[in-house]
Amino acid sequence: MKIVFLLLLFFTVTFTLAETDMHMTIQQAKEKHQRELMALSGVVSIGIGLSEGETVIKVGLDGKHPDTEKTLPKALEGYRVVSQEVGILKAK
Amino acid sequence: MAEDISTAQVVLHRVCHDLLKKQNVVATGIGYKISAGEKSPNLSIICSVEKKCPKAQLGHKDFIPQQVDGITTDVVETGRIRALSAHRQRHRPAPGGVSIGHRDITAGTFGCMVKKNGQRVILSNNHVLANSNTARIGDAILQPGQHDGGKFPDDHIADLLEFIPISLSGGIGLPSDCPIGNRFALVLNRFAAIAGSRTRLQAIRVQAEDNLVDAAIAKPLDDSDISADILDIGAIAGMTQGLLGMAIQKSGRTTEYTTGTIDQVDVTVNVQYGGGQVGRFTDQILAGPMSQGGDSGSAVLDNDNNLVGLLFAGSDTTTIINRMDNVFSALGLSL
Repeated sequence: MKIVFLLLLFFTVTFTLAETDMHMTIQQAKEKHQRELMALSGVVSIGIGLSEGETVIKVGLDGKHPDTEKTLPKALEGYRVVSQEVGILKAK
Repeated sequence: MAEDISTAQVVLHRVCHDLLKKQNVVATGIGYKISAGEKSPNLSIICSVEKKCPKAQLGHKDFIPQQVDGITTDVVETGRIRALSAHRQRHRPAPGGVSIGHRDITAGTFGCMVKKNGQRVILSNNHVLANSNTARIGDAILQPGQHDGGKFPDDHIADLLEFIPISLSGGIGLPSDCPIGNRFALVLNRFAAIAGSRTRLQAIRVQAEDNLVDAAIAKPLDDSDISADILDIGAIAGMTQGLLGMAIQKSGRTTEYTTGTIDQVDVTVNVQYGGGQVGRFTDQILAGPMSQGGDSGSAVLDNDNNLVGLLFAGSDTTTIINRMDNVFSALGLSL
């Protein structure tokens, strides 16, 4: 009985640890995908922001780019992707 | 003539409030009308307008009549009239938040006073104090900047002490720090010298690297020429990390005192530096519209006056800010 209990405990612990390890943080998700996102036409920034109280990956566009907006994934690694027009960013 | 002016004054006194209610009118006064470069002999009521508009674009009530109670009127375009801002004037000691710039640039903002090896120095952007990588250490810094009337040597406040080069793509590359490339160039240049050629090779980096900061420091000619305060904000309390949703404030040369909120963190962003050159920055902070051209170099603080960042770029809707801890570690600064 004791052995069964210990085995059960062992599996639960390893399984939980493995699962937390597999789940990416939003920073990691952004890091992983930012090069491909920045390569899209009109994309000038990628950051982490809030949308309706949820932490999301924000893609900044330098103007109106309906084609890029259509191409953007809805979510990456489980995090929502939201586009925003930030304009042409210049050194001031 | 004396009678003329008193008559005009009486009329103006009676009608000036009505005139000032009209669209575009920013000032009224008495003067001589100038038409075709000739000064007319009679006094007129002169209405200064922000912008001259064709009659068709103005409503009936906004139109300025050619005469008011027998006195002719004149319309002069003066643009918007604003109070001469303290942020664009000469200050000694100069606080943070005022106009400053390398002698070859228009004007930017003196962020705040910081310390380098215990010495008081001026903190701003590379593109304000070091003219986007092109300045030499020791170059003159003017307060106010040239665009605000700063002149050398009268307004020479400091000398460029150090800047963090910005890696830009789309222009000519920066000198490479690759040992193999540099050695190769050195060997080939020896051959070139032996062969009597006057041409030399230089290894450059064509692939731009990611940047963290657009920052530079300048050493004041006299310690007492700069103040530790920031205009409209006051003394700096300390440093803190900029977090999502944090309320922030800044004091700058153009839009003066403004506030905002941190909308994004961990931002990777492409910034235009003119001439088709683009710099990619990582680990930036993004806020809403709280700056315009000339605000570059402003220190960004939280509402408890803790330093959060260094403003350097943006658009009409967006402001981009370097993290202050990245600025401090890049330049080896302390408060």
